[in-house]
Parts: sequence; structure tokens; C-alpha cells
Amino acid sequence: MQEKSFSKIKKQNPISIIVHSSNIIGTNLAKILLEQGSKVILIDTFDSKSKGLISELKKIGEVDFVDIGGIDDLMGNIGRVDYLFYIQSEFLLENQTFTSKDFLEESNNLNLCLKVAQKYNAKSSLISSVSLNEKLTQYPDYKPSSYSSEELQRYSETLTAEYHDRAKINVRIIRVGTALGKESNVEKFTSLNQLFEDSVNSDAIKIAGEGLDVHYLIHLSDLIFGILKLTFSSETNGEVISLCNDNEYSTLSIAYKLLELNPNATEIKFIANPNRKRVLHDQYIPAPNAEKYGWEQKKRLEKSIAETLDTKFKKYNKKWAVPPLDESAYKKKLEEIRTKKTSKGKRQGNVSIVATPTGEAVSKVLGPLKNINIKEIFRSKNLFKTLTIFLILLPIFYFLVYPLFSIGINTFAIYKSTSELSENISDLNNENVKDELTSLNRNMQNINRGFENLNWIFLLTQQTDIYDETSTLLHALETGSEGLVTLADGTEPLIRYLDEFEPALSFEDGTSTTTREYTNILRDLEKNSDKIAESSYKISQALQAIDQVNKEVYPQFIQENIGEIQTAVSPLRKNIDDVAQIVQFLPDTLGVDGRKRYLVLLQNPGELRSTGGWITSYVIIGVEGGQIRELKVDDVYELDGELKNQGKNFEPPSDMLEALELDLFGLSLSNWEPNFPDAAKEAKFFVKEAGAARSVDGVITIDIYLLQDLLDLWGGINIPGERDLITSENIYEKVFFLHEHFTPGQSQKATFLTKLADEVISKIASSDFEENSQVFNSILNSLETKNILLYFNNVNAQRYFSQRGWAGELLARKHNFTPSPIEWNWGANKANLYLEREQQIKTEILSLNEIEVEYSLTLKNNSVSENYPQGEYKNYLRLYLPQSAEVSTVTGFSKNNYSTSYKKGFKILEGWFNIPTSTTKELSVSYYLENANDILLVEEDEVFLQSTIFKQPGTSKKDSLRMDITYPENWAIVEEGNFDRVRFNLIKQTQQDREENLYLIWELQ
Amino acid sequence: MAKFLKITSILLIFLALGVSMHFGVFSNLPLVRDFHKNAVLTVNTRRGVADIYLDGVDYGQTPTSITNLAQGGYTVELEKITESSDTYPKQSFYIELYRNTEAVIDIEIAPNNFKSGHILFYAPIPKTFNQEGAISIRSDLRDYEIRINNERVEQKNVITYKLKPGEYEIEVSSDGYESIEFPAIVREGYDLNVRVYLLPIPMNF
Repeated sequence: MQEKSFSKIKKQNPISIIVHSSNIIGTNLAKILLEQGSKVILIDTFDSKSKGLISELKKIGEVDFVDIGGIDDLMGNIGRVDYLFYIQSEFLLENQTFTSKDFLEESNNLNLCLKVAQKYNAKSSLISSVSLNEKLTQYPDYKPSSYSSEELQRYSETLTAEYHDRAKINVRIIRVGTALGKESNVEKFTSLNQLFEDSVNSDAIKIAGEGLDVHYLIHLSDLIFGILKLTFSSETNGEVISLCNDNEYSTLSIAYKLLELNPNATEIKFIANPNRKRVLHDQYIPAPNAEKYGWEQKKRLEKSIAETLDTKFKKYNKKWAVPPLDESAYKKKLEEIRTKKTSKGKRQGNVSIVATPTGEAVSKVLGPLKNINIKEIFRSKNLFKTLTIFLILLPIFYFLVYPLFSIGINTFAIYKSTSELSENISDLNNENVKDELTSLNRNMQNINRGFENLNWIFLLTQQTDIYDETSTLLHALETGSEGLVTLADGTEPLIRYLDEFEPALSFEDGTSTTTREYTNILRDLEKNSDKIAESSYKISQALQAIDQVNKEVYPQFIQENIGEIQTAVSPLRKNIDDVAQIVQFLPDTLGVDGRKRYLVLLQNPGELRSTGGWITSYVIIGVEGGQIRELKVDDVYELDGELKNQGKNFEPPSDMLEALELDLFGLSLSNWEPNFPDAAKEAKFFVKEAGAARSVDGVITIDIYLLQDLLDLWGGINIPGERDLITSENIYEKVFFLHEHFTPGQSQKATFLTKLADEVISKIASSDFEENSQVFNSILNSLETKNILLYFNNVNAQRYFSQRGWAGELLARKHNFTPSPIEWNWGANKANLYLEREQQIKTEILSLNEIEVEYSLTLKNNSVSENYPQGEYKNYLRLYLPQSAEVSTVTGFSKNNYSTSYKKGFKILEGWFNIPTSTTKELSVSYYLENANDILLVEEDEVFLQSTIFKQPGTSKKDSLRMDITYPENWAIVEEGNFDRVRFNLIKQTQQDREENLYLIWELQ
Repeated sequence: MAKFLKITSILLIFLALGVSMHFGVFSNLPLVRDFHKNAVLTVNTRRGVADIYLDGVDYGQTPTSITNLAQGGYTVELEKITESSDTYPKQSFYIELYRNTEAVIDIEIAPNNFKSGHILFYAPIPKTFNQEGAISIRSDLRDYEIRINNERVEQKNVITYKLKPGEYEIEVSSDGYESIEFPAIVREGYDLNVRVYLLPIPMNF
């Protein structure tokens, strides 16, 4: 070797020496070093094998070969060495025993190499063998000869360690395991090699003894990488390291793994071991594994075995049914083997155990876990480490990972379940709704619990306000969802009733078609009323808490989200409160304790009367046990005629007598009083007096507009016996044609209305949820627009209707500000169908105690002839004003003739206000309210105005209303409702289809 | 391989922990569940004795304390022991019990479905950094006045007042009804739910 040849090496190119290089480790190591740009000097016996090796390596990079006999020269002349790899393991395994000369020569060579490494400060590694080291300790009876490979390894390692300790050279001892793979050297390991040989050449893998002897295995590529990594690492300086798989594999376990690869051999045979030695299992403790220094095994053991096996098959020119497998294919194959074993069943004695489908499924799921060797994981030396890791991870998991994960998963679950929930609600599927809500509640609980676990973050970041507000919000959502679960549980009987309700139809002949009753369901509902009330309260509490969450503590983008939540949940409160209140009276009103009778008055708004119109017909509905048990329809003339026949003549109320100069009073005129509860009581009286019903538990008015709405929804309905489809266009003509041509004793009209009622109920009962929700909305709208009025004896029911403005009340405490006009068409025509109405209310608030009101009512009669149904609008008008109103001007009454009276907290101006055909007339009233402090409430520096503008039932939805409110200049409006503001004026122009609630707030300045 | 197995095992353990916590497995373990079955319901009926039914199960007569109840909602029915049972219909209350708490029903069952008295139970609220408790008071009447420690408080439909833990004297009154007074203990982290029933004052003609 020429010294100058090394001088050509660039300074940055390292020089590596590999001693005993003509073996798989040396060769592969050299290849990698050359590829990395190192100059490599190989030292070994020069022969044909090494010659071939040199020519192969020269193709990769700069390589020199030095016969081991010339090592002295080389070491004496070499100018630089960066890395020294002394691969003794293969050399020792090939030569079991040595002569004293060879022993001395090898030890001298090592000594020389280490000296050079010391001189040039090279990083060095002595590569020895784990298995040779193991032999010295595992077999207590084993006495190696003085010049054995074991002794030589021991000597070499000792020498190396002394060099490190004394000369401080950078050296490590790397004990390598048995290399497996395509170029494996497994032949040197007799028992292991026998397993592979048997796998290929025999029917059975023979294991001598119990097969519990242990092997330290490694894939060749992992081994090469390990040697390089450990040598380059400064952490390994002076260390003894085991470079092999960290798990110890017994002969038996390797044999099983071989069988799984489906070689020729199909079973394992245990044979006697004549050379059996006493083995002290677990006596041998390998040096710390290379994993400690960052080395990682890349090739799975199974793959290493498969490659080695494949090499064996090739060696014997045998065909292996399964070629070497890649990782995924290997797993698949393994699964196939397991499945095959399971499907064949195991035999135990005469009993065959066959896998069940469940067992197979469990096996599939748990299959990967079978590979886990718990014993290995929790070996005593690792247990402490594992426990420590576990204990460190536990709080991290509990206070960070789980909360975040839980919040994420549960939020997603809630998001996902929302659509299913609404579908189930639509389908009235209460069971599913309850399940969904329970699950929703559990998700909310988990989110809450997760969030509570994160409170330390808010404490550390001093964001306790955000924590408190968020916690309140989440808790409110949890409470709300709990309330919903209780509500779903409580309303279960109601849902069941709605779902199962089957109407008893065909009342025409006085009998019902079904005996089905719902008493028990209603009793359950009655029993649950407290539960529902409680759930409603709980939900209200939750909604209040959500409302009160202070958004200001959050960043802007979250504020918007919270605002959206607050807006979204707000309508829930009213709906749920409605359910809770309805449940309080529903069982009683549906006749849970006995029959309840309701009087339904059909009113014709074409001939306007106080509560909506001329009463044309009446219906008695008897409800018992949640079922309609009685339905009687008749013309109002029949009942009035019956009273006359019985000689029962009743005087009208005095004001009515005075106004209309009547002599008889009956059901047809019973709606004189504008306050519907009063009118309803009158109607009840006449029905009972005539004997049409023993008792009346409620009165309902409906007008033709509701029927028209329903017929529009359904596109008309067929009524048995009627030639034409009954639609919203012809219903009016049909009913009023029958009424116009009615003669006492005739049943044509009653029959038609009975059939109509049958068909309407039948239609509603057979409709799906969506259609019924439209019907429900239509009815709800009619209640709001006063096309339906309700009066029930049940106190809870009446209170509920009154609160919602469905009771048709005219009350001094409610209608305390603006005039409430009550018209009464006394022209025996339907002039109201041709009428346009306009109201203007101008109000000036002078001070906290003084208000001036100017009111005008303009009526335009578009009738063009005096022929029925058109004609002059003969209208008796009563104008209900606040009792304290000081009236200044009144104009517009016929002949300016009007009277003033007082009743139920009102001042009433009344007189005729007739509108001839094709004429427009205006009536004006001005008044002054002193001591207006029952209208204007003052609290601290705020002024509240709360009042209701009355709408007479039966008046057109297109009637125009304009309202102007002027207020003092030192008042600042805070709440202006749906008014427009122009300086100190509030203006509103609207079509009055329902009562207008005024709620205005000013701040005093 | 061993490292992989270790990591897998630890992850599996944590996954199992997480799933168990999600489904409340731990709180439903027999011992834990029994440990948490510690809610108490005390029922008293003034001026008379009543049979007590909890979710339809007979629990004897008033006055009594029913112990070891599990957390959850109960329908409590009180049937006054009297010869004229039509005059005193069975009264039904839905009450929610939470672990580590005591609930009280102290009611006078009057004729014609009237009743007077109060129901108290605690419901957990989030433990905030303010260390507060709360009290929620409601009545089935529309207009009523509430005083806490003789101080009138604002009345709305839903009334939840945040208070420092401690004992408070509650008074609820309404025009035409007999007012009632009773002590209540506010606990940190709990909302003391109070339902009040007032008896109309008989009219003298």
C-alpha cells in the first residue's frame, strides 16, 4: 500500500478501515461507506473470494484491499484513519478453535489496529457476537478451551475496553446477533439453521429438546445500519452494546413462525436431545440494546425469516408455494392461516371445537392482539418503566387529551344527530326521539366534563371569565337537554294520543264508528303534567342562563357564534312553555273524567256582529275519553224556534234593547257583547235553555275564512251527496245559499254541515305530519287573526287562551289607550263583503300624565245596489274609549246623534254610523287622557307604554291602520317596536289583520 | 417491536379508559353505583298523614325520610289518608334527585286540589371560579312576591339568584293567599330549586 495513494484523498473524505472484511457484514458495510464517499481499506486474507469482492466494490468507490499479513506495513505507513471497524464476529464464528499462534496473531492485529485508532483519534468498533458471549454465561457446565472463539472474543473485548479506559480511545464493542435475510449466515448457527433446513426439506420441523433455547436475531440491513449508527454516535463511546432484536426468540417460537409461512414442513416434532446441556434460562443478560442509542429495527422478524427461508428454497432449487412476502401480504397471509385454523376447528380428544360466527368475528378483531406478548412487555425490568410512562401519561390524558378528544367527538355526534332528531320529531317517533335526546344529553355531559377538566388552562392563562361564562353556557345546554329528555318522557302519552287517534266518524246517524277511547293515555298525560311543567321550567332556566351569558368576554368571532346560539334557542322557551301549559288542561278538556260538550258557533263575517259575524249555525261536540262521542249540527233558527216553541222569551240586554229596539233575544243575537267570554256565556245559556245540551264546557266561534283556508290547503274536498267539489270559492255560496233558503224543520243545511265536519275531521286524521302542520298553522293563524275565538270553563285553558289573545276579550286594563270600535250590521245584508275600512290614531304624549288622542274611522261601501247581498251598511257603532277619556270632539255619527255610557271600565260612544251604497264616510273623535299614569309607567328614568290596539273579530285582514305617536323632546326612545321614527314622532302604517301590541320605552333626559 | 407493543398497549388502555368514561362505565360499576345511591327524600304533610308512592312504589306514610335513592327523576304521589278521598285528590309531583343531596317535600294537602307548602331540591350547577351557589324560586301563581332575608327580589318567570353559600330565610307571598316562610341552605356548586304552593285565604261574607 502506497502512502501517497492516501494523500490523494480529499481532506473531507473520511478513511475507513474494515478488518476481517470478507464476509457479509464487511462487504455490506464497505458498500455503504463507499456510497457515502468514504475511502475504504479492507483487510482480510487475500483469496479468490476477496478478489471478487474487490472488483465489485471498486465499481462503487475508492477501495483498497490489504492482505492481513501486511497489516503491520499498512498501519505503519497510513497517514490518517477516521473509522475502524474490527469485524471479529464472523471470523470467530467461522473458526471455532484456534492455535496459539493464530490466537496471538489475531490479538496482535487487534492491538495494532487500536493503537492506530488511538494515534489518529479514529472512531472504532469491535464487532463481536452475542451468541458467543451468551455461551460463556448460559451454560454453567460449559468450559471453553483456552484458544476457543469464545475466549478470543473475551480477550479481544477486554483488550478493547482497556484501550478505552487507559488510552481513552473512541471505541465501542458491538455484539451482533444472528444476521437473517437474503445473504444470511444462518449456517453458522446449528440449531437455528436446522429449523430452516427442515422447513424446506422435511415434513416436520424437528426440535431437539424443549426448544426453549434463545436466539438473538437481526436482519442484515438493520445490522449494517446499526453498526454505522453506533460507531458514528459519540454516546456509544466506551459502551458494550447488543445489536439485535430486543426480544428473545426461542427455537420453538421461531419454528411456529416458520410454519405460519407455509413451508414444506407442516408440523413440529420434538426429538430427544442427546447433547442436552443444562441451561440456566434468564441467566444471560445481554448488554444494553442498541435501541437505547436510537437505533431502530426496520425489518420485522417475520420478514427476515421469510427472506432467509426463501434463500434456503433457492439453495435447494425447490419451489416455495409462497414467495417472500412484503409486509401487507405477510399480514394477509397470517390472517388466512389463522382463519383456516379456526374454520377447521381444533380437536381436543374426541370433541371438535368449531368456531362460531361470533367467535370468528372476535378472533378477527382481536387477531392482531394475539401477537402481543404481555409477558414481554411487562417483564420485570420493564415494568417500572412502563408504569412510570403510564403514570406520566395518565394526567396528560385526563386533563388534556381526553377532554379535547371528548369535546371534539361529542360535538360531532351532536351535529350528526340533530338532523335525525328533527326527522324523528316529524315522524312522531317518540321512542327514537327519547333515545336521540338521551344520547344528546350524554354528549353534552361529556363535553361539560371535558371542559371542566380543562379549567387549569384558563387558570394559567388568567382567563377565568371565559371559563365561567363558557361553563355556564355548556351547563345550560346540558340542563336544557336534560329537560328535553324529561319533556319527551312526559309528553309520551300526548304523542301516543296524536299518533293513535282514530276519529269516530259518520255522526250523521248519531252513532260513531269506533269505540276506541283514550282515557288511560289521557290519565297518563295528566299524571305527567307536573313532570312536563318541571321539564319546561328546567328548559326555561337553561334558556335564561344562555341568554345571560356575557358575550363580551369572548373574542369577536366567538361572540357571533354565541349570539347565534342565543337566537336559535330563544323561540324554544315559548313553544315548550306552551306544551307545559296545554298539558295542564288537555286531559280535562278532552273528557278524561267524563263527557265535555263544546258549542261551536259558525259566524258569517259578511254580516258583521260584535264577535265576528251573524251566527248562522251551531254545532254541539261531545268529547269523552279523548274521543268525539257526539256531534250535532243545526241551524241557529232551529234553536231560536225551539225556545219560542217552549214559550221561553228572553229580553235583550238593556243597551241592546235601546240601540236596536228589539223585542226578542236568542242565540242568533247572543253575540251582542264585544267581550267574547260574556257573549259565550249568553250563547251557553240559550243552548241549555233550549235543551240542545245539558251542559256546555266551552264555546268556540269559527268563521268562513278558516274553512276557506283549509279548503285551499287541500284543494277542495268531496262531500257525499254533493255533486261538486267543495272549494274555498264555492263554500260561501253553498252555506249561505242553504241559510238563505232555510225554512224551519228543513235539515238540508244541517246535513251538509255535518258531512262537512265529518270530512274535515277525517281529512285531518288521515293527513301526515307535514299536511297537519299546515292545518295547524292555518288554525293558529286564524286564532291570531281572531277568525277563531275560544272560551272554556276550564280555568287553566281559559287563562292560556287569554294570555295569547285567543279569547276574544275586550278588557279595560288591556285596551286602555286607543279607541276600540265595535260594529253591528243591522241591514240584513252582507254589506261587509263590500266594505273598506281605514283607521287613523294620532297621539300626542304631552307629559307623563297627559295624552291627547285623535281618532278617525273611515268606511267606504263599495256596494253598487240595494239588492241582497249588497246594500246600505246599516251600522250601529260602539266606540269603547278609556273610562277617563275627556272627549273634546265627536263627528260622523248619523245626524250627529250619539249617546255616551259607561261599562266595565270603558266610556262608550254609540250611535248609527250608516254608509249608503257607493259612499265613504268618516267618524272622528278627539279625547284627552289626564292621569295617564296607568298607561305610562315610570320606573327610575325610563317610561314604559304598554297597550293593545283592538281588532274586532270578523273585520277584514286588509283594513288599514295608521298610527302616529308624538312624544316630548326630552324623551329618548329606547324601544320603538316596529314603528318608524321621525324626530319625535313614531309612525306606523299597517294592515290590521290582528291585534297590535304596543310596547315602547323611553329614557327621560 | 417491543416498543411498538408497549405504545399500542398504552394507547389501548387509554382508549378503553376514554370509552369507559364516555359511556359512564365507571359510575355504573356495582360498588360505585351503590356508593352514589345516597340521595335522600324527606316527605312531610302538614295537618294529616298521607301515603307515599315513588314511581308507583309504596314507601309508607308521612312523615318519613327515604334514603339510598339513586340519582334521577321521580314522580312522587301523596294520597291523603281521609274518609273523603274525593275532596282530597291524589297529589303528584315530579322531583329530580341528585347524588349527595337531600330533597324535601313539605306540603299541606287542602281540599279541592289546593295545596300549600314547598318543595326543595338541589341541582348541580357549574363550579365557577366565583364559588357561588344559587337559588331558584317559583310558584304556580302568576303574581307573587319573594323576599330573601327580608329583602324583596325582582320577580320574573324564571328566577335564579346567584348567592354565596349559607342559610337564607325565604318568604313568598301573594295577594289573597297565605304567605309562607321557610329556611333554605344554599350550597356552592348547587342550585337550590324551590317550588312554592300558596293556599288561598278563605273569604268571609
